[in-house]
Amino acid sequence: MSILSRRRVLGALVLGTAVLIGGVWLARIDYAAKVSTDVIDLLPSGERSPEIALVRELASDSEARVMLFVLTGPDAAPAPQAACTRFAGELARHRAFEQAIALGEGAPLESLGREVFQRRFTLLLPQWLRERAQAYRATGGSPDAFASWLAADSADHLVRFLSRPEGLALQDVLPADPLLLVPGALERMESGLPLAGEPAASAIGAPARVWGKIAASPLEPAGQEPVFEAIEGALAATRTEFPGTTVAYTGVNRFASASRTRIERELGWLNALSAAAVLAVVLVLIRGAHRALHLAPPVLLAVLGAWVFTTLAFDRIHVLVFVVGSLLTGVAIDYGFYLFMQAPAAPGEDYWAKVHRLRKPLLSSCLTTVAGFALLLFSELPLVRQLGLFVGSGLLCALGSAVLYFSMVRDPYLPARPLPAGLTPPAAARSLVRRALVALWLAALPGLFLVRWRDDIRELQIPTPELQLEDARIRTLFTGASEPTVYLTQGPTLSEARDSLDHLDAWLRMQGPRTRFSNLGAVIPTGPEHAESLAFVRAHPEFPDLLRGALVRAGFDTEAFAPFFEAYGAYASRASDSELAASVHALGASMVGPLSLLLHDGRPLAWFVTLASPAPGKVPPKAANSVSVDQLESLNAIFARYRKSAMWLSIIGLTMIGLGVLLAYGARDGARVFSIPCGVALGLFGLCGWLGLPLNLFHLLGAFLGVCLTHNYSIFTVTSAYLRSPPPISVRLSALCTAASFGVLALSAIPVVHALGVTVAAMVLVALLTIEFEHFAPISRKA
Amino acid sequence: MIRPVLMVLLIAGVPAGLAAAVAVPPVPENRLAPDDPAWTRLAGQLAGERAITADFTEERHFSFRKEPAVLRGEVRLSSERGLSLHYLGPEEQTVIIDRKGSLVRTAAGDRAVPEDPRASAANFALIHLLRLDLAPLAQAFELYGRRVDGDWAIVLVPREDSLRRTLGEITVEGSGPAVSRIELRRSATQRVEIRVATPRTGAFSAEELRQYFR
Repeated sequence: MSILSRRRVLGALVLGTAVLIGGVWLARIDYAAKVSTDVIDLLPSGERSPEIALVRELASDSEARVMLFVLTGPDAAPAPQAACTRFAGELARHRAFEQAIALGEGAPLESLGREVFQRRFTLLLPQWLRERAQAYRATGGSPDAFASWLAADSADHLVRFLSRPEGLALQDVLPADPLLLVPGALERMESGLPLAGEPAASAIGAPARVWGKIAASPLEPAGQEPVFEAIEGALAATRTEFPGTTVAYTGVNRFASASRTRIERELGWLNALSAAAVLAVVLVLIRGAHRALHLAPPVLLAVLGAWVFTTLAFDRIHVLVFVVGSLLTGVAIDYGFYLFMQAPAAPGEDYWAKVHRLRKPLLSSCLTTVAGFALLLFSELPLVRQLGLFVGSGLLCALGSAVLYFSMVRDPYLPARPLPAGLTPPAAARSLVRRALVALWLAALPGLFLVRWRDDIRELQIPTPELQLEDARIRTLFTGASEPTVYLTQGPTLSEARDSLDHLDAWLRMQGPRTRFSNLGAVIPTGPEHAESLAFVRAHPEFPDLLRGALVRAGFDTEAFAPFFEAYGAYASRASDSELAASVHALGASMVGPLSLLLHDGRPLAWFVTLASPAPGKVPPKAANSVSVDQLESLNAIFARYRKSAMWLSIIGLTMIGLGVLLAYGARDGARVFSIPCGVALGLFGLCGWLGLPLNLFHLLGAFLGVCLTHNYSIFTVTSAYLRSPPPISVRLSALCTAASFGVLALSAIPVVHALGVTVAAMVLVALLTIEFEHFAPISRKA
Repeated sequence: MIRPVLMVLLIAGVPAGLAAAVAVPPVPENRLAPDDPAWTRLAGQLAGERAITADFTEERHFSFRKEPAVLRGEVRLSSERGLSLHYLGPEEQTVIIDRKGSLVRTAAGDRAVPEDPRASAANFALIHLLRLDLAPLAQAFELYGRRVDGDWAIVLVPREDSLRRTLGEITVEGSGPAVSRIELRRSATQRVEIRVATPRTGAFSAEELRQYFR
């Protein structure tokens, strides 16, 4: 076997083994679990900001599983309540749904009310006692006389309560609740109660609404198609009884499903268009274009390597990594172009001698780029980390596989098609254009001071305008025109979150009478309140008798209040410190429908939900430990932090690349080499500054990617300049291919992808122009 | 059982001694067809009055108290704005019942009342009953009625069992085009009666509309 044959076998063996191992690994992956389309997965799981931690928890917890339905009859009027009941029943029977409730029947409120009533001494007595104790202190009475005063005051309150509208509404409750614990809780909830999910049920012409909670995560396939099928089935069953009924619905799963479809569709056509654009460039610039197919295997191996290493390193990867990373091909193909299109130094030059000759530009460009992308592994943003590994590992694989693959090719040289005569401008014109470019660059630089950053978390989302409109319409039917602002008051335990809730309540009350709010603080006492209540019950066993006497004096039939005295006696005999936690747990379990979202007793975060309308424009005080989930500003501030962090990483990465180049090529030539990537990036950002175009994190990442690409071109060109050769054709070919494929990305409707595409394509084209107009001519002359 | 929203039932009146002049036992022979021409004519007379104001006295009888709670005030009925009950004492407040639901207005501000189907039914009944708008009422209630000379009485019995237990029967009595008494009766010890004095007609002023309606 000849040396060449042995090399081929060895190369095929190494590459074949790599493909086999990589292919087996990729075939074993559960892609549904591994690849995420959820915007929340773009944010760090260990985010230190409570806002993001809460949003992550909310998105992955039950809140994201809520679906809202509006039923309409054949005449476009709201469907009858019975149709809602039937539809909700059908949904609830399906395994895809955990709950489904027809709103307007009062069931969620009744369930909550029943539980609160049964546990009224544990849950309501503490706050009632604290309020009455405050009122007593205001009278200046002696602490010893508090129980007597409390009994008389309670009877007096009861008499007055009977004159109020609520007195009639609650008359069945009063024999078991003469202390008015339940009316007191309702009063504390005030008019905020309708915010909690049962608004205007009686209004004539009110929409027919169903609230549902799906069993699986809306971000997983199990929470999408099976759910949509269940809805179709429930609607069909409802129509048998109520012909002509239609349903409109919204939920996170609809957005997730639409995003997935959109990304898959975009992946398809972007890749196809990108391949077509690259093919067109190749056909124009390469003689014997069919031989250009040899460029494909190294690129495919690079992508395979990138997938393998990224899926090995990360448990969950966002699909945008693959969307953006698919353009790794634009960088990976550079090494193939350079190796394949470099003419032999002499006829019959051995392939490995050629590789040895080109090792410096190949290694310099690859390793410095990989070093730059490796820095992205230190980013806070998972997407950036994943992208760093994807591109970095992909480039190493690209270089390795290109070197090995072309060792197997019989004639590892692909000549370029010569440019038609007359296309190359004269030297004087090139010099003029070069000076014009430098002048433009100098003019653009001050624009850097005008650069505006727009850090908007919504840029991460896949836009779905039709669904967003439908979602807004349906939510308005559930919450009214002014959707309440949702505050999450969090703590490591529910008890600590409850303490913070007092601060939020106090702050909301200070916002004025127009601000209505509702939360479970009205029916859940704080730990200290509960302890004081226990102390009172234990210290005043005479209180029931005192109350009996007061009720008789106020004209009541005390026999009628037997249910109260029995329940109070039972409570007093068994009350303990642990009862509060048990009661809150039972309360949480009793809540169904929209009310079930008001409380989350989880680890490491527990929270209470407060609904407020109209929402104060200000941010709650720190002591309230509360954030508004609508506070885009706070999320955007975090997004800005990521951008700044990425910028610092980019600057450090650029410094490393620059130092590497200076070490490899010396100070003067290194500076000229590095001036292309650096200068182009600064010049383009300066231009954006002048034009007032806002930039974001992804423009920054695009610029970083662009720097790495143009850095390759710069190194390959300077190598030719040392040999007094014109810029290698591979650079032109590579740049045009990359510009074409990233230019296609600029057509994407996904803001992130668009930003990357525009930035990289612009950088590559400007860098190519600079190179074509003899940026390295002085080096060439010197050499 | 908590029913925070049945405050609508406050509409009623008249002690037992001043009970209806026209008794209407809910028996088949007293069944009332919603399109009965005689009742339609009477409804037309009532509908002709776009704004009615009258003093009222309300007695609330509770099973756990020997004496009823007595409240006094002014009732206003607007064909466009619904029903408004302005209680003058012991605590001044206004209860407004309209197509949007019910609302309690006090010096401290408005208090929207969370709704439930039973309260909705009561609101619905009262709004239509005070105009003798019988056709929509017939869908949710069995209607009974009698007319003797110029006096008349109507009894509404909810068709649904749960509503029947909660609301009981609603009786409205009148003389000519004026409503004189309304009773919501769940049992002998749980009832609310409103006795309405001779009504005054005439459009509401802008201030009245602002103060007593929404």
